Amino acid sequence: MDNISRGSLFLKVLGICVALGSWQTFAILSNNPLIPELQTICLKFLELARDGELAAHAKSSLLNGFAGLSIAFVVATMCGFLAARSWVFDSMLHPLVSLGYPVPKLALYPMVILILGLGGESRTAQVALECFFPLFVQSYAGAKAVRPHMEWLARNVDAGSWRLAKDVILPTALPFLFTGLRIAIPIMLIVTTVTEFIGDSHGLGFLIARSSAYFDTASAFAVVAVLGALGLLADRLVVYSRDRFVFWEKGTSL
Amino acid sequence: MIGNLNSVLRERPWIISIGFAGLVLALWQFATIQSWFPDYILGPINIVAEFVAMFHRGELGDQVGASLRRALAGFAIGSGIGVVLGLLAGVSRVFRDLFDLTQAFIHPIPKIALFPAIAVLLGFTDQTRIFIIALSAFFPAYLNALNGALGVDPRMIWVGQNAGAVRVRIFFQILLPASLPRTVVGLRISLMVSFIMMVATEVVGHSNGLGAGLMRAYEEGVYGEMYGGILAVAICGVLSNAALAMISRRLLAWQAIGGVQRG
Repeated sequence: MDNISRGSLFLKVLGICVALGSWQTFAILSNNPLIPELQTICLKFLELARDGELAAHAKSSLLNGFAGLSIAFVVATMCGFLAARSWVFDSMLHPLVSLGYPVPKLALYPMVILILGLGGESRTAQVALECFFPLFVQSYAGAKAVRPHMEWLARNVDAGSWRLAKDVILPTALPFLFTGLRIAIPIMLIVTTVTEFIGDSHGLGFLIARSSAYFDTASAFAVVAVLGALGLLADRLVVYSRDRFVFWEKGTSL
Repeated sequence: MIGNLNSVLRERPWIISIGFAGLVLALWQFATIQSWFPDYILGPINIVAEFVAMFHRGELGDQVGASLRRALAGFAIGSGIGVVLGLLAGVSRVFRDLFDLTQAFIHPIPKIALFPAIAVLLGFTDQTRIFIIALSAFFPAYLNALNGALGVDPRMIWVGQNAGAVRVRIFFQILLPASLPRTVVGLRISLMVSFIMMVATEVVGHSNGLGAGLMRAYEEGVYGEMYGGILAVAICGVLSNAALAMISRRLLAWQAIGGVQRG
């Protein structure tokens, strides 16, 4: 057993070393200043981190991104619960969701800018718009997963609709809501980055666009790596809190 | 009387769907006629009229062609490679371990963030855009195919081996069909991501296509064309999703026969 896991760890490390090694070899062989070597990227990262620029832009990105995600989460959860419980509300929302889901909402961004301006508000709104749909679909599926005899049990002890929502529907839907968050976080990062390419001079996306415009690809790749690390961290956080909150379903993936 | 109406509607919920959608659109149109909204918000009738006019001028066809070509090329390349590598990683532990860390590092990066840097190297060309779309489409396809292959009942593979099937045959006749439900889920996510990336790579830098068209219309203040472009993007997204849903229903039709649960 121990032998197998040691072998697997070796292969994993070998895999990442091959990937990084081929980048490095390619960078050295091409001898092109636009294809930076790994140590150059690291140095640029340290430089950006030291003068505080990285932290300031990261803060702006994360604030807008998570504000949008939170708005989408609250609205989508409520709409999902309502639609799952009321067939009237369900059929009212149905056209919006089934037609809106496969559409890239990014196409609406010019309209959002017209209404909210080029600042952080429009970025937050755009993130909320794009994250709403996957979150809604999961919340709806979660609220639909309530087993009928659980509901009868709650009715039997005279639970009102608030207690029904809090003590029966929410716990049933909770694993689904976490799945929704895991889908929505990468979408949030994509939308934040794209809208920062276009918008005013804030955020990690802007930092990437500016560095690239000055042909400073090393800085751009350094910021890309930071974005990846933030995405990974947010995802781990969701998985960790899922295991804490949905303690009765340990070990199931997603 | 009211109870009767209630039960009639309950059996035909589409009446409420269409009625509510119609009500919202009518209110929206009414509000624009009364000019309650600022000038840059057009009513639904004006948007459709603008869309039809653009279609007749032929500019919409060019934009849709350029955009769809990029989105579908990127989707086909990225998800094709993703499914094959995912299934391979599902059957081979060595393969899975080799990819594991690299995948874990690259997966959380929003691939669009690479766009400006790669565009500096390769230019704001179709190749750069297709590369970014393919890279984004790769991961959902890879991860779902991998999980689909991991979920295949090993007994089915033993049966195949017992019957003397060679590896290639086991791959195509057992593994691929058995992991198909999960793989198809991945493909649908990939397609959606491809369309987001299609618009995202077009609104940045000089480009042609739908995203570029509606961004230019915004900058020049030609709001009618902007809304026409938005409508065109929406139609492309809905149609391609419907097409993929139809294909996957065909592919999975045999699953329902044996009473096997769909993924």
